[in-house]
Amino acid sequence: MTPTPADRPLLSARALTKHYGRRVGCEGVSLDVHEGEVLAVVGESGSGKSTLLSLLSGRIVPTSGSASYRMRDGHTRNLATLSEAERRLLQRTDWGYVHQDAATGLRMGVSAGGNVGERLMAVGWRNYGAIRQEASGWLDRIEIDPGRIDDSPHAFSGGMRQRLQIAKNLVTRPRLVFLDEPTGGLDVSVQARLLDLVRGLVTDLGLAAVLVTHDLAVARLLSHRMIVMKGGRVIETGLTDQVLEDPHEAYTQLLVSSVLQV
Amino acid sequence: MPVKHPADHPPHLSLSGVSKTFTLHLKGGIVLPVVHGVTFDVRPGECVVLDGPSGAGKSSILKMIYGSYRADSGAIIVRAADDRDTRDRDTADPPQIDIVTADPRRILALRASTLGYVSQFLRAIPRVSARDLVAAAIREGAAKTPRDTGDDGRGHEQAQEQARALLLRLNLPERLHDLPPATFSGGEQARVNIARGFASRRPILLLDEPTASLDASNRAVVEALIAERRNDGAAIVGIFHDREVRERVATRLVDVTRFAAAATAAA
Repeated sequence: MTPTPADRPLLSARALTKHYGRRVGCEGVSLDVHEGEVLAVVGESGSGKSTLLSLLSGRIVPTSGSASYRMRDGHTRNLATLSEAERRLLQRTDWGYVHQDAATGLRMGVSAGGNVGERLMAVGWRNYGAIRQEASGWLDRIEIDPGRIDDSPHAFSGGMRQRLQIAKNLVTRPRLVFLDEPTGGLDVSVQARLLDLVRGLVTDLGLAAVLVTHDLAVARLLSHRMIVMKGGRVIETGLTDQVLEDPHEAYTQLLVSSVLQV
Repeated sequence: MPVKHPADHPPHLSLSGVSKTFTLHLKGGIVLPVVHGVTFDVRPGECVVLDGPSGAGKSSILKMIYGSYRADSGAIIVRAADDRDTRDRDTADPPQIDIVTADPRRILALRASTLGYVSQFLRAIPRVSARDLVAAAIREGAAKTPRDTGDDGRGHEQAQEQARALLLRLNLPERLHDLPPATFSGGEQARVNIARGFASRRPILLLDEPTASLDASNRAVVEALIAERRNDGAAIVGIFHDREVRERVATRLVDVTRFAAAATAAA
């Protein structure tokens, strides 16, 4: 039986390593992410999860090892061999990147509609009315009154900004989204709404996602599989419920037992 | 067509020599024996009830079958739901998968197609209504992969209607159907959870004390649902602390005490 494209991973890392001088950012990480699959990367601050996300999304260059991505044309390419133009196109079309701080991911000087419309223009949309209509549809979808399409993100609450950042990323129907602590810094009640939105979009659009979080409840709600990082290395992997209900490593047991039960 | 006796069918689920320990690294690395050498089969139409006192490892066995606990050794063979073309069905048996060694993606696919699990507690998802939770389970069960959730309008409406009927049957008043269950009472949440577990027609059903927080009339509904699923040819493994319920639903008891004793002896 020949494997169908969906059987082949969308994103792969092999022995991915990043050293900052003598300090280890990330050491020998191998993983696969398939279409429609959400992989959570958990660990405490300094465990290397953010470095891993930057490596996987081609934002930094590995010291050794490789990350590769199956492009829309079916060819799997090593990210390090992409030209700058190819990588930027990938980042603007087939990938999304949701930052913890919405102000980093949004263009704060541009209106809400402009933020959503920007990526559409990057993939060749030219009709102003169509762009505005699509942006308005997305605002509605993320529960922001489309009447606020011309407002600046400065006028939005933290939760609204984060939802806007998500819409901005998903408007071009990417196949893979990187989520860096998407609920960090938000009130708990606001988190619930955001998580519900992300969960719905991931399911409806069949997105693959790499979710970096230190919040195990967020990982449990959104992810299928989980990797646990410590000191730049992956120390445990498995189905999300396996890792959380039957953690094997000492550090994972500590993480799980440190969570307040509600 | 007369229903064949369960013994005529190959088992849907087969455990052999399954063992499990917990190593508690935060407690000086002590090793807790759980079960050793668990061996039994479950055939279509059977409801096998795991029997034994609290702490004998009954829930751990269910979780190992579902794959949320990892077995140390042994084999847990699941016959995957037959999603092949009818033309092929006579020529080959459906694939058999060993949960103990299967990779995580294979286990996820099995959960979507084959393995249903009803735990004691509902894991409420913020802001998702009771009816949507149940409807989602109906559509997942009809899909062959986690991704293929049949996102067409007709399937959606049917699932909503089936979810409504099932919730009403479990005496959950209609005014609650549109609300997220996070604010429901324990008994109401348990019924949403049961509706979710029975909504999908997966061929293997794992029940971890589904009747624990129910009153007599709702227990009777669950007993009827179990009987219906058995008639459909589902293979059911359950834990029921209530002796009367156990006697009514079980087609066979498996005494877990000996597996727990074997684990202690092996440790």
